Amino acid sequence: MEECPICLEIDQEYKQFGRLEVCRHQFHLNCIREWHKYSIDLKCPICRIESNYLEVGEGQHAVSINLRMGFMIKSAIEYVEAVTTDAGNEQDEEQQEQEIDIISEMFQDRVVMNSINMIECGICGDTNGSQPNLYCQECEAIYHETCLRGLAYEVGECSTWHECADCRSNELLELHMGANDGQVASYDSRNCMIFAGEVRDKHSVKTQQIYERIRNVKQQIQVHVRRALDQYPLPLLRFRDAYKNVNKQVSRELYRLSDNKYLPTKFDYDSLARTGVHTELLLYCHVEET
Amino acid sequence: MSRITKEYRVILKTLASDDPIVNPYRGIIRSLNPIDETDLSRWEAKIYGPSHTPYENYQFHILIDVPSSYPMTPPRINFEQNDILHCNVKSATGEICLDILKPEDWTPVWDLLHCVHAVWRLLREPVCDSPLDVDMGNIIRCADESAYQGIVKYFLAERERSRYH
Repeated sequence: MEECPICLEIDQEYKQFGRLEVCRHQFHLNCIREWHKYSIDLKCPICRIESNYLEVGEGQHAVSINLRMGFMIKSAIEYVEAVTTDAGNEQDEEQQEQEIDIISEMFQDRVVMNSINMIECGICGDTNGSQPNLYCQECEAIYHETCLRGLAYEVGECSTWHECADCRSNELLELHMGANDGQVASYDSRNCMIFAGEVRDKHSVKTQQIYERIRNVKQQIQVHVRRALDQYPLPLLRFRDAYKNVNKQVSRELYRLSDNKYLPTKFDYDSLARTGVHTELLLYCHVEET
Repeated sequence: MSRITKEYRVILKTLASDDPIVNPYRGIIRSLNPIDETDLSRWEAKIYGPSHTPYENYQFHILIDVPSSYPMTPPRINFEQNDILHCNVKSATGEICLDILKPEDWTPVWDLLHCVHAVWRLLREPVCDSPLDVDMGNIIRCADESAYQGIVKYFLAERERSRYH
């Protein structure tokens, strides 16, 4: 049985152990991360060998947490705070201005991002073109799978890694950016959209066709869902919200089921819609009651 | 259980033992305990002067403040005022200049026993390159062994005399 050298506890059940990448020394994840809030470098507390990664978990659940990420941000924030607190000193003002310039240069790409959506990981901020590979349909955030896994480990909810870190939606799509390794990928959200994992120009003929086709499919499928919903007596549907929500959920399920195509020969949309509406309504009533 | 509470248990067990494997601090640390049992933030320790040094046969009194952020930040360790004459100690305040007790060199895997042991080692191996007491540092740097021995012994004899009169 091994104890964490920082807190001296043996607890292995409730606290995750992490291994430093280079020297393989083990600490509780919480303890070593807490230490990094105080330390001036990423050297191992035991042997002083520097590690940039912390490994958590075994086998296929293994996750490598990048310790460099955020480590410098802390000192940059402290630095900015320190600069603002001694702002009274006139002699240093010129020097301070130069220093602030350097800091804003460090974060320059973040500033530019306001107008153009970069293909960057929402957790580590890496803008390397081909790597971020999960895209949230709800809030349009993009992530590295490894970052999501690492984050989930760090907050102790290992099973939630496939949720968007921002809006918690689990509608994450795979994103294929092609082989533009090392380039910074970006798209302008006014002109482009992400569809089926690829960036498309909103105004291109092909995109318009895709739009048109999807719109038709949705309308056709919704006819079935509405029909199913209308079979329920009015009092049950006294809430417009309930009607709208159930409609949305069931329709979405059906789109997904038939892969965004209308295939009346393959699927019995009427009965699918009926069962879907039934379960959704039960769920909805249950939620309302609680 | 907090880290310092766990340490307290280990310290009690270690220092009570006669087995040199369990207690490697025999002849080094005489005692290490909280000043008040109910407050584990203030500790005191007594160490023996290392043999073959002018500190031999004397005991030294160390005061330890454990901050609430311990073990992420180092404990604050001082000698008692006017307790010792040493090139890395400001005698009047008891302040100690020891690298491992500085936040940039500290690591959270060290505990109070390590720290007190390190202070004891400082008595055996003074670091005259970074002296708090410049005069003492210069005497050591001149390699004037008898002057060094003499002045420390004189100081300690005076210390004992003033305590009992």
